[in-house]
Amino acid sequence: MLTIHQAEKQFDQLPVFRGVSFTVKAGETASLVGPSGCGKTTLLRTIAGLERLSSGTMQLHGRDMTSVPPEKRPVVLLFQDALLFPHLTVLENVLYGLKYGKRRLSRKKRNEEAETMLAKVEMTGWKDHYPAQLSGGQQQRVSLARALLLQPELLLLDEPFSSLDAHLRQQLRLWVRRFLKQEGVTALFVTHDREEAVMMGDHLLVMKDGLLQQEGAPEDVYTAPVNEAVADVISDGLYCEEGFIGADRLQVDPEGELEAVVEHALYAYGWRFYRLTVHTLSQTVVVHTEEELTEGTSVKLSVKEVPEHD
Amino acid sequence: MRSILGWSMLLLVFVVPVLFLFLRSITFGWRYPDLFPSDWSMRAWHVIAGDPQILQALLTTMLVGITVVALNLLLGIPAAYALSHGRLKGVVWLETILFLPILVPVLAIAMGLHITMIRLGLADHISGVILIHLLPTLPYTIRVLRSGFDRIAPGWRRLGDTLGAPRITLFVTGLLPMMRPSLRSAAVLAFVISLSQYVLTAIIGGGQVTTLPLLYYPFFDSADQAVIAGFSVVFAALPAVFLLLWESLMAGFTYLLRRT
Repeated sequence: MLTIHQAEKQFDQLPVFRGVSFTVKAGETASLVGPSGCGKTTLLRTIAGLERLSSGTMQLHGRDMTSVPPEKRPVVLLFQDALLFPHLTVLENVLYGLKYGKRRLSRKKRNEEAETMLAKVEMTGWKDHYPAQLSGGQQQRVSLARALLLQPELLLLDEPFSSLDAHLRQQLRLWVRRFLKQEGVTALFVTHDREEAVMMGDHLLVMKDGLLQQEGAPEDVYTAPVNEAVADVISDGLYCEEGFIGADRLQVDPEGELEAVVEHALYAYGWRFYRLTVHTLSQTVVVHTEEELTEGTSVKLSVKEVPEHD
Repeated sequence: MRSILGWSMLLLVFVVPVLFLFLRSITFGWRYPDLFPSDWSMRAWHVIAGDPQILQALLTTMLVGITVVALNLLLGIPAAYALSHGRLKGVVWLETILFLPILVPVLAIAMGLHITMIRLGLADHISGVILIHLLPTLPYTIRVLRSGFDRIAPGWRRLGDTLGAPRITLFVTGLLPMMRPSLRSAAVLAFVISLSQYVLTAIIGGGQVTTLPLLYYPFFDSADQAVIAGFSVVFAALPAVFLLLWESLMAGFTYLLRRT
């Protein structure tokens, strides 16, 4: 279990993030989502030990890790790029940490474990190939194998799919999610992609402007964001004085009270949607409607009443 | 098709002239307009092999060249790494200063240094010659290696840290092998520059340290074209010998890394 308490980081007196506290339970995958520059990557690096916290503490399974150097922490970080050594084969790359790194094993033992791990990430047939011969997704799988062989108590993933094309990304994140579950790895996954965050995490952390804005089960955060910042990062809907209105409750209605301008049409999952801008709230929202709307025209929106659950 | 063209160009430009030189050294009275030489003779090579000075100079030249390369790498690698990844302030200035020896006529510096070297007792000695050869080589070495390090993403250091590999281990097992092409360029360049030094060697060596160029230039006074041609072949072969040594060394290094 990872516990972060009142973590703060400054660069040249400027706070990158502050007052960040949360826990990640053992065996759980937590997603940390936020826009670029919100401090999430720096937070991840401090957890890996690559940067030091300005103040606050970090514990792993009850042991204080705040000032443990990165090479001594039972934590491994997976980067955006696979960072495989181009002059080493896939097998040699996977062996690197067992040979020179945190968990050194005898030659026989490390070869056995590496072979087993390569089989798990479905890369056995490629073990004597060089990284340049692999696709981006395969490279990331090799990188994951190299990290997991060190048996980290916590695996950190820093947007590991961002350099892949959309199709491959979709495939690989599903695969990684299953793999992490199957191996029982405790992981913290950082992304700026909300779809990815919701899909990868058992637990969702939303960060913006250097603050941890909200945390909870992905569905709870999505349907009930506590403020406009969170709504902006993760939810579909409008945030107004009365609180959050989910996009599912908004309908195009000539009798409606909210005025919106049609930006453009988009199509997903077999449905047609329109992106609308509500100028009075300076927010945009995507709404489904059967009606055909013209770009640039004004429409009215009303809020559907939802029957109380239970 | 393109590779055939490339190889023929390479042959034409680099191999044919040396081959021609070699032919010239083993022929006798090969003059225009004869298409083929009329007489063959190994005389020139007997002259070269029979000269004890040349053999001695050959050894001295190799010793100076290899030591200069070693010192270049020893000083150049850390300097280039710091310039490339070291987050230094005023990098541009530092780079300019390190490149200055190339911009100022080297003779002017050598004249000044000569007096210092005499005081230090380095003049007329091989160590002085090696030291002065760093002047026209080290700036290039730093340049070449720096651009090599620039091409390597800075993320590697963080990777080493998170995998738990000590910095020095990562450097030797990861960064240096990735730098292999740059290291080779730098080493060969430094060797060839050292090999071509005449004036610097003559001034600082004071005639006591005899390298090949010191013998080579006076040979031009002789009208014996076959001997000059033979000498030139020896000269041209030295970088090739060095490259061979270098590649064997690298292969050995890679083998050791794989074994352990």
